[in-house]
Amino acid sequence: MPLIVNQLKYSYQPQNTAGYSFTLNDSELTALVGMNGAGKSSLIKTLSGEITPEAGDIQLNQFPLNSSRKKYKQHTGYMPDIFPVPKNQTAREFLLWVASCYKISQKKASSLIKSLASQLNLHELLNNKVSQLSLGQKQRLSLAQALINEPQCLFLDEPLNGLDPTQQTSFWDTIKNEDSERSTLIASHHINDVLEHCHRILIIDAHSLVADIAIDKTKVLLFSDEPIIQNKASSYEKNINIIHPKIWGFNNHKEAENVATQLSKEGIKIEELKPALLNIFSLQAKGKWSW
Amino acid sequence: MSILSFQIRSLLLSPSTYMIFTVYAFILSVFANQFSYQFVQAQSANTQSISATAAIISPLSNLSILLTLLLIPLIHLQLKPARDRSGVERLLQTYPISKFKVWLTDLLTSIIILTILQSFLLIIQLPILFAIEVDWPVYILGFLTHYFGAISFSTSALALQQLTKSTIAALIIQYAVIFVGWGVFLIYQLNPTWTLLSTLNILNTIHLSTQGILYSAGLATIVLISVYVIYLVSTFSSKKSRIIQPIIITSLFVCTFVFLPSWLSNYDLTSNQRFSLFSPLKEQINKSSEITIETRGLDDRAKHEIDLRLVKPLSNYIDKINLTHHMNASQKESRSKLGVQITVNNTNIWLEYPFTQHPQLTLYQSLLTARDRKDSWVFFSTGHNESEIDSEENRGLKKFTNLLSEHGFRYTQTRLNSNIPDNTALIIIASSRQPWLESEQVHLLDYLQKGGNLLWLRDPEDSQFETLENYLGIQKIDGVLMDPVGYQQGTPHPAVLLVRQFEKSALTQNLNSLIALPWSTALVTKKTSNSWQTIPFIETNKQVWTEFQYEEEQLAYNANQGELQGSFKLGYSLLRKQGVKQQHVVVVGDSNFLTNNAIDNYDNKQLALNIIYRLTESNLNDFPKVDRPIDSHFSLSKKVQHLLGWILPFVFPSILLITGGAFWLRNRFV
Repeated sequence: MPLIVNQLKYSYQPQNTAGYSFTLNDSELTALVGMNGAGKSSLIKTLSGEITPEAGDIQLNQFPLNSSRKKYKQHTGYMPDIFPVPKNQTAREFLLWVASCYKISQKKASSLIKSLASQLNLHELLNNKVSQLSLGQKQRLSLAQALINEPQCLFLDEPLNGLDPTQQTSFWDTIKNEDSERSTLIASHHINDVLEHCHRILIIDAHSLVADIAIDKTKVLLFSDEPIIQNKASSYEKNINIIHPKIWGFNNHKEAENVATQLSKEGIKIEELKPALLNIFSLQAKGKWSW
Repeated sequence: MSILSFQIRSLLLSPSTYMIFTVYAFILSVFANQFSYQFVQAQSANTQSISATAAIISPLSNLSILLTLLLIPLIHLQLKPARDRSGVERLLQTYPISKFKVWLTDLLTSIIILTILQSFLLIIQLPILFAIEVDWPVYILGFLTHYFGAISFSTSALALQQLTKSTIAALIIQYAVIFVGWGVFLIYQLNPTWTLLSTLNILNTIHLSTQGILYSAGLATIVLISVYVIYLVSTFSSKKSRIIQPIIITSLFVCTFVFLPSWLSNYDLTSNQRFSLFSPLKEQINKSSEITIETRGLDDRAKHEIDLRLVKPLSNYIDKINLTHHMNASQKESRSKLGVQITVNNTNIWLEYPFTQHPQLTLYQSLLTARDRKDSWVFFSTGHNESEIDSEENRGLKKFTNLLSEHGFRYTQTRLNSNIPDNTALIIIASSRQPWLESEQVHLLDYLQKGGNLLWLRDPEDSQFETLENYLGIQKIDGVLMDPVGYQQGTPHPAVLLVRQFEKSALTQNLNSLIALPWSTALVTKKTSNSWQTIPFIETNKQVWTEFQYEEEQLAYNANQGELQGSFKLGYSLLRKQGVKQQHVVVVGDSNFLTNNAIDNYDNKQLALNIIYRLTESNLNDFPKVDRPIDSHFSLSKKVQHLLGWILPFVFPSILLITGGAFWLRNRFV
């Protein structure tokens, strides 16, 4: 069952900002991207229940967060941006404690921990004190605690921080478990990885959703830093797939180049063909781009 | 449950928890030892009839609650503030466990730690409990109230701790709760008649319970506050915004709280009911009477004792009691400086502090005495050149009779030439210098035969009164007593005797310095057919002699002239059972100490009062008996000495400290 977010607002969102509305579908890996301070962590915290929403609805499996908090949280998993360091607890004790919060029996918890330890290469760390783990080890343990209740919806806040390339690969393997119907929302700055692994990108800016892009790997993305009349671009190429007034998707590189050439002749500057998103954030950082 | 067990485990593996345990155990054990030895000393000195529960267990419990209040916030810091610091609290909010449940888990954890601390208190008290005959209802009440009081505090502190994520703020908030409690306690001390404040005063409720008073309203308040705080946390931690229900519940809580004192009574659970109103005293006081109680120059401890033993029992029965504490000691010369002035039914009663017996018993006796004094008279004999009651001359008794008026006595001076009336409380013969008529002697002996009380003051120049001497079995020795020691110490004449040491008796109580007896005569016993129990109560030093040539300038002991030297008896108390009456007669070999000339010297006035009170007191058999507390004896065996002396103060805390150290090492190196 999908996670439905409707007109969601939290307390420190600017007054005139529209609430978030989107849906996370089953088996879908969705990336949440945006500049620093755009509101990624706040949105993830709100969805996970750490922050209480000010307005709007979040619903998972027909369980609204507002009225059925327990049932909602029973089916979600959350990996925070900063992993907690419980005092005097080993990794195993910590995971058992988390399992007890989900009312998972000791026996089942032990078997789940064994399986997660195998997937995330945590076996050797289980008897170590949490406080003694490295950042990457803590991130893996954090992912393990988020997965221990076998959630239907997983919220990950900067999960790749501190992971070496091998661990990053292992992370994506774990997340992209094809047998699972789990929907996952990943807040990340690793755009290339996101474009490679995710099915969809939610772009947020100033605590507002500015783009919801389904990533079609068969298409070439093109973008411009100037507002363009939509019809103008589409008149050059019939197959143009308008995602956003400033971003288009093309079936192949050749088509994209043709449209770019035509637009250039008319004085409209085309920055890049691919990868588009990195450039967008780069321009945004320089103040040359606004959604 | 598993979250709770994780939390407890985490706390019990924390070295700081053991540090707190060690401090608690060490301080309590040291004071348990101190209180026990103080009690044993008081017991061996036989200075007072005290209860071990009141003198050891209760102060120990009070100390324990103080330590608990100071230490529990430190334990609480290892709960939510520690989770806030580590980030675990953030995670908890994303798990399917409500904030209220997490808080409840914290509360249960706190209760378990409190239980551990309480069990330490029990361990430390165990040797004492084995060494005394425990007043169990008092002990159990004190123990449970202490426990529930601590839980109530813990509940409030944990609830307020929810308001902040800062560790320092959490600590400040929790100690603020203690100071609010302490503030209520202090305000209540200023005005103990505020019933509502007394109900709110949790510290006082705990203190009363450790003394053996079940203060139901206070106890109910402790439970109510806990339940109410739990309700508030449960309501406000849920995301649903409810307004009406909390308002209704709060109103109900406030109403219940306001009416609690009128709904619930106090119960005295002590073995000898020492904090209850004696029923004989109840019979003497009208329920609608107005009683005024004024304390003079008493410290807080004395005020508290008066509150517990006198004011509270009376206020449970009497509709109106006016209580005033005066910082200054009494300025009246006729009484000791510290004490309580009680005005009831227009009768003024003065109770000296410290009490020599239960103040209610003293009050009861005084009320009876006052009643008797109103119906009876003190007669001074006259007609034989006795001292005059209205005379302001040196030999006059004006100052003495003023003293009698102040104490409610009615008196007159009369010639005993007719039958002596039945309402005569006492006859005073203040040195008859002329012989009595036969008829007067008959009336006097008849009065004595009927059980009447007599104070016979004799001087060297008294006329012979052989009939009375034979009847009482007391006669005087010729000569004036000379005291060279007193003279060396500064008396104006050797004939002024100074007496320093007294046999312990009702006649010599409260004599703090010495008495001065000018121009006195020695007394000796002689055979009598009457069965008096004769007890001397004033005796001179050994250098005193009987001087025959007392008008000469050069005075010296002269054995050749038949003068005697040594220690002489100067006062006798005679006692016998005459019918239903306990008859008292006092014979003193001096009348001058009561005269205007000498009554203000040293403790003469106190001696005069002692004699008058003794001779006019009511029948002692009618007085209610106050039982001793069952836990008044403490046998300090060798085992108990070892336990209290070093095992509990040093070995026990050391074990806790070593355990904490072991966990610290384990956490650091393993």
